[in-house]
Amino acid sequence: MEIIEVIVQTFLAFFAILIYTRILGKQQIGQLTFFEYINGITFGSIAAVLATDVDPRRTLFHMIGLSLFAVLTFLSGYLAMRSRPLRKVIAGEPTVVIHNGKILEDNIAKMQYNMDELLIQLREKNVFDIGDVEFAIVEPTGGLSVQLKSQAKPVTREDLGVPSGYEGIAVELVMDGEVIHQNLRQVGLDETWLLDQLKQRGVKSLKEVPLAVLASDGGLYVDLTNDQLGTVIDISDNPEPPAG
Amino acid sequence: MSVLEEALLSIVFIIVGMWFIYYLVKKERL
Repeated sequence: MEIIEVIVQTFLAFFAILIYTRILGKQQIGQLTFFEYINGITFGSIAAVLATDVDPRRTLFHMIGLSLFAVLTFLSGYLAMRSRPLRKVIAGEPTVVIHNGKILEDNIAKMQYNMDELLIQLREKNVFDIGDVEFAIVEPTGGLSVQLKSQAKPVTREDLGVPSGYEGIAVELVMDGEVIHQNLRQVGLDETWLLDQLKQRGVKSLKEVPLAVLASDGGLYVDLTNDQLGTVIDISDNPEPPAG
Repeated sequence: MSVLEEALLSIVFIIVGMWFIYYLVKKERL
């Protein structure tokens, strides 16, 4: 009987996590603040207990705990969104750690941050000379944003006076063999045009096309299931080359 | 709470929750 209970509770916990996290937001794992990270771990722990606790009297309590935790997370996010002072309290503020090539030790100490972490994060940003840094700021999510001094910044097209046109975003027209009609309409094209383009590339059926993308310059990129690449370069140490 | 009640609660929760997500996605609120 206990096995059935665990199965039922696992379904409940799985869907509870799916539903609550879906409603709670879209933040990426790498962009979480420390509070949000710990919050996520606690949320998962409650769900794990909900799935595996075989005492049927406690299921409802675990469910109430999990739901209340989700409500509190939602509320803290909502309050942080509505009120700037509360946002500072809940999410924290960015902290300047380098200004004009000089490290601000006091700010580093206040955050329990250390010099090694700072140097690692600078190197990850391809900064090897602290003297090149105008500002380095530790974000509430733990990431480091770096503004280089103007003399250390890479040359841009604007600096060289090279004209550059507008660059839009590529739009997916076919995915997994299915036409995305909404995107096709958005770019002012129709299925006849798309099928004609695919036919010109030797495509007999849409099932042969896992992905077709309209680039911002109007070019159509088409990927086929059978790419006919011949020998595929294998960068793993697998003795058998993968089929292309 | 019996296993049957647990299963019932789970089914109701899953149906209502998934419907709510579907509703929010359809309304472009999610």
